[in-house]
Amino acid sequence: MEAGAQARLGRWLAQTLGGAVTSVEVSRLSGGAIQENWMVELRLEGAPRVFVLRKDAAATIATSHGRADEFALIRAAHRSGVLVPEPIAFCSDCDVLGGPFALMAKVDGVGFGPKIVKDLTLGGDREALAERLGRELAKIHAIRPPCADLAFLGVPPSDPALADVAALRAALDAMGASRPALEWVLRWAERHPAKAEAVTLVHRDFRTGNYMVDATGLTAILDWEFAGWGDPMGDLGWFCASCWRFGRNDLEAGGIGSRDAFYRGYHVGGGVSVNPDAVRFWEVMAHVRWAVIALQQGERHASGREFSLEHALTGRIAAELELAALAMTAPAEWSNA
Amino acid sequence: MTPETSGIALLQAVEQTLSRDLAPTLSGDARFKTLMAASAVRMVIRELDQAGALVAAEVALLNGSPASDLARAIRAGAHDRDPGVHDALLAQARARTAVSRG
Repeated sequence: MEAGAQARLGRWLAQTLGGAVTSVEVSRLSGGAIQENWMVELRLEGAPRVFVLRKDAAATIATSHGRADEFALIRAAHRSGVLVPEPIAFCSDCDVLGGPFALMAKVDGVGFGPKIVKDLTLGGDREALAERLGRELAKIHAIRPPCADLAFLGVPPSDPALADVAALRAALDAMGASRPALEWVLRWAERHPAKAEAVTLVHRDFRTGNYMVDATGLTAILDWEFAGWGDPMGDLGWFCASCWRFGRNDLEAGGIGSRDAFYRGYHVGGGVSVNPDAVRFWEVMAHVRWAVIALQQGERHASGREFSLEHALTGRIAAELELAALAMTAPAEWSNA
Repeated sequence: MTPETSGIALLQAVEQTLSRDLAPTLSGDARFKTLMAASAVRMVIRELDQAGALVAAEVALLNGSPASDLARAIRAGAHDRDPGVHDALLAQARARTAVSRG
């Protein structure tokens, strides 16, 4: 970070944190075309503190509303007692760093899904981890509309299942993608939609790979940018879907634990009563949604907009997701009506 | 046996150059990208190798019509619970997965 920006950040930090800020050190954690993450180390009235600063990349200021929304979601989750990085402050003054940014407490841990699934020295007792994740999810689902701080989420859908069918079809159409297999599964979904018994805040990307663990257990729930109002069973289905088990198909809760333990935690945490048929519906939909996201990534390369072999290969994942979703929606799984 | 190396054999040589010769000498992002490139080449080799099965699966499903026609018809409900269409979709997804996953 250039010296002028760092000096302005130091003044903003002193004002925001309300004390003498010294020894500010800023280092880049990660960054891409969309978002930058910086580690900010400083002394506040002499005491060492470490934060993470999340900022949209300069090229994408038009979408910077996203950071403000994400911060509001994390703040709402934090108030509801969800284990998230503590939200410290949001800066919407572009004069400080050239764009809005969020400041959060730094949380340590490993987040990479395949590593968490394989490395059993992480996450502590795995059944306890699955139960804990269920409890955290229940706390997310305790946030109900209307909620003034989350007004940007818009009006809750009256039928979340059919809303998702329509959104996924629209996404396929927008790409010009003709995928008969995905159409088959979406048509099944349209004919057999899960009926939402409640509409709550849903994370919409609650899965292994989007939380962090250390050697003893969970340290934070991450990646809130897809959150919105929806059917809470959707989060259970996304977490348990076979496409998010990273090779441990026997461990139905995210490749890390049993479905029983996950549901037990969800129940103990005060979650909505679990409807197994609805969860299964959302597991089917998880494959379609991940396939559509994979195709969108592949399309970024295929269209020539952005060279990325990684995106091109991600697009190819769609085939195996279609195979799994077709197997779950065989003719025998359709009602006669 | 001809003295020329076939296209698939050339790709196999590219794959080995990337994964066996280059990747072990690299680290970090360069190693990751080299292994990813090797993986993509393996996928192309499978796609060429299984081209016949891929075409057969597509013919069985579409019979020469564009995929967009079938996609539209399925969305409109013209193939609800249709076991023939489901079987052909499954067969094509299996053939494609055999390429993408190996």
